[in-house]
Amino acid sequence: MNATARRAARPSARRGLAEHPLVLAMLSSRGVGPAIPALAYLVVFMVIPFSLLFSFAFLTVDRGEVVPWSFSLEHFGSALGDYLFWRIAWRSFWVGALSTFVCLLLAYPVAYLYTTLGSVARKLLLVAVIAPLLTSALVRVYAWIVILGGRRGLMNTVLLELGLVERPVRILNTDWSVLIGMTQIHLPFMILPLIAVLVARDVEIENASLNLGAGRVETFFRVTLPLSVPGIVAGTALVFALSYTNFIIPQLLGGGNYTTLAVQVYEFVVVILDWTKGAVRASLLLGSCFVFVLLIVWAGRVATRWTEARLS
Amino acid sequence: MHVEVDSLDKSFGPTRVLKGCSLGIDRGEVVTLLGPSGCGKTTLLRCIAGFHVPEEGRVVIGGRDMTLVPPWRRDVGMIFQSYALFPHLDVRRNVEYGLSVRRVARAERDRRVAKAIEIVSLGGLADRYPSQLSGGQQQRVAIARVLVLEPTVLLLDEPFNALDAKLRYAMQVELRKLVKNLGITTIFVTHDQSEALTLSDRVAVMRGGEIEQVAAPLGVYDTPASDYVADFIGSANAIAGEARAGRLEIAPGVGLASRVEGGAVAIVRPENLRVEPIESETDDAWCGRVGFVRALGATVEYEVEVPGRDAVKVLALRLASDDVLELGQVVRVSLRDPDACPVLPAPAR
Amino acid sequence: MSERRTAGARRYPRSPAEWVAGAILYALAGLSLVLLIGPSLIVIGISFTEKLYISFPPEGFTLRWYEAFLDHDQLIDSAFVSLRIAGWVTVLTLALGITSAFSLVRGRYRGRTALSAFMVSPQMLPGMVIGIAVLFFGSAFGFYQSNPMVIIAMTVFCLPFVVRIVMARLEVLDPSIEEASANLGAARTQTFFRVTLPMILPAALAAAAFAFIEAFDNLTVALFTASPRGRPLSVELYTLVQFDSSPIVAAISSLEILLALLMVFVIGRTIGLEKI
Repeated sequence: MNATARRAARPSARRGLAEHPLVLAMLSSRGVGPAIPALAYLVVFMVIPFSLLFSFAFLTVDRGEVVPWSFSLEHFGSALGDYLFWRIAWRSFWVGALSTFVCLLLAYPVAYLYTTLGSVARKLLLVAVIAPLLTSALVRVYAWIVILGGRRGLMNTVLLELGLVERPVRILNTDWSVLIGMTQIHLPFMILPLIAVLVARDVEIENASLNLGAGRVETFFRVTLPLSVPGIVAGTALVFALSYTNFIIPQLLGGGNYTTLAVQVYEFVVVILDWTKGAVRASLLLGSCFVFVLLIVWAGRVATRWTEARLS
Repeated sequence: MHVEVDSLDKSFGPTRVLKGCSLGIDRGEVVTLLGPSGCGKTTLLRCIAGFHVPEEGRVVIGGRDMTLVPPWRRDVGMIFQSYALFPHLDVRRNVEYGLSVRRVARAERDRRVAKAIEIVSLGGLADRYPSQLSGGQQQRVAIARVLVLEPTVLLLDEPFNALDAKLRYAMQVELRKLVKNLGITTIFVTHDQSEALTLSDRVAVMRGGEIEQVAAPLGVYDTPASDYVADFIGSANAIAGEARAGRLEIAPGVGLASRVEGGAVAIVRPENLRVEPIESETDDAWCGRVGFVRALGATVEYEVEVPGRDAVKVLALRLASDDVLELGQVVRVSLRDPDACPVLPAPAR
Repeated sequence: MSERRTAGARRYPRSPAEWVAGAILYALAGLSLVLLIGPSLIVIGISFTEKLYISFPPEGFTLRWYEAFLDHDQLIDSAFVSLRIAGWVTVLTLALGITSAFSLVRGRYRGRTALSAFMVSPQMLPGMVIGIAVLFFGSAFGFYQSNPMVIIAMTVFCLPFVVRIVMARLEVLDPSIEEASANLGAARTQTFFRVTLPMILPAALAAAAFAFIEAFDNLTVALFTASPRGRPLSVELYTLVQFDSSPIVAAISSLEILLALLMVFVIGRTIGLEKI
């Protein structure tokens, strides 16, 4: 049967598309074929752009134009040799680390109590966790500006009403507001992996611990917590990476001159238009973030081994 | 009485799982809780372990009311169906767990752990993690983990379920010897009647949240308290009828002595029946046709279809020289020992 | 009912350590919940205030800030820009994500796991860096900040969500159902449209909801790739938040919260919230 005859035999246009050789090839394939469009997309629009980004850090870029043959390590050198750079990097790190830690502290109880709830309460709690996740980060930052900001903000109104302070305090545009914002905005990312690992746990193992004479609190620290380390690692790595690379929260809640590495990247690329410096900092940001994530994974392993050793 | 359970009531939501369960167990005795799934046997065990608090009733262990004592203060060892080993600890630390919780001194701890590991013959495996062990080895760890604490009461929740048939039998025998040697009061939960008969000094048959009968294995078999028990333990013909003047007629011309008057049911074990081929059926005798034959080697099971009555199961011993009856053969059924057939009041419908 | 209440009364006495641990547990969880829900409620409350600036407690009840948003041509235009971008990103990510998910789950070839890891790897990259990388890439080829550039970068950003959700569904889907259909004489395409597609439809819908809301809300990618004219809503709002203190932002935020809740509903109805 030739192609014309086959086309004539088709009952409808929709079937026509469905029987297109490409569609057929995709459906029948047990090979890499169907993944090729996505793979090609990511190579063209992710791998090549990221390679470019890294290479820009070694080249001189003038108003979006690469200056040919300008390869040099000098840009990295000048950033790493700069005292200010290290101060900013240090701030990025501790703001990220501290907010991640507070996130963990706040998220674990929610995830733990989730596993004790009935199905309706579980659904409601999940809505409360996932709705903020799907709400624009900007909206949530704005909410904190409203709450923390100004003399007539919610925080100051409450503090003044309760007589805890005598005149309005400044919270917005300090380290505190950045920390609060980062913690709140990334909380769902910590809660979800913890819920996943705690829901899947075998409660019988905890019963075994109770049966062997350990109380509920001791059982939690000797059994439940060590066994949830994979969830803790996943949540911690995710939240740290998000906090460390977030530039909107420091910019909007930290005030105009609250600078972190991520804020610097934004400023160099968008405001100052010095793409080389932007690329250097973006590369350093991404590279160090990767190292920290690996460190978190490694720390998780060590922590597990340490709890084991402590037992004997 | 070492362990005493006194009219326990336990509900989960609207479902009442235990309805006034009572049971007394002597020191060093091995008792099995036997029943189909959903009869409340595991719930009863968990009430004794302290994982559930009953709404009503008491749990007394060693003369002390333990009803409101949390599980970690009961000194009752439990082997879980899934073994529930700590996956993040190796065998030694699993066994050591209870001693470590009790802050037992290092030297004594090591001595007791080594002894417990030796008792369950896990010598070379102390450094392995649970995931590196076979099912049988995991069970040994679970047993050692409990025995190291020298409990006076041991609870086992269907412990042999995950093992294959051969290993299961070996472990049953081994465990029975172990708890008898150590003199630990042991309570088993199982739905497997042969396991119950193998392991226990007494069997408690449970039904719908209540204990139907407690007796020695052969006692439960020979003198079941109800047709439910008779049917659950072994195989039985439950033949219903009207008892009059101390007699229950189960077939034309076949009567049993009965202490019950009115509606009654006779429990006739298949091995208490005999079949012999006859020429043709008659109305005045217990006879019928062979409806099904199951030749198992050492024994043969027949199902005899009796006109106007329930079919009867008959179990016959078989030697190689014996003929096996054929399907459709007309036979006469007779009792070997009429005195071995308990007659019970008919169950209320 | 009364029976169950007496049941609840019978429990083990708590030790002091348990009291303390329980109190800490509930206090932290409570604080956490207030942090999760509180800010959104406050923004919604503010959006109805009659005052011209943000203050507490909000006074009166008015819809004027919603009207102000609807009358604000620039914002409305940018909202439509965002909708268009989100629509395109959803279509692109679904097309790329579903096809590749099939290959990643059903495929039998070497390097399949490595390929899956690669496909979801953009998830680990901050949106900002994706935006910058695409910006640099475009400029190298004389292609400048524009809505197509936003769509291109945002598709990289959203693709992992779609791949992950559809893969999760395909993995639990029993291929023997499709084999049964093929066995019953259905052509391969028929099997796909009548059996396979309906079965992955919930996952596809949930993935679409996820990709759409992410693309609609996203600021970090858009800020670097959007052109100064005809910017998406998120970028407009970013400027507005910094320089405008009127409750109009609260009104827009409330609408975005509503949109997020709608998507939560869609995801809850299709694959269930537990699967996120």
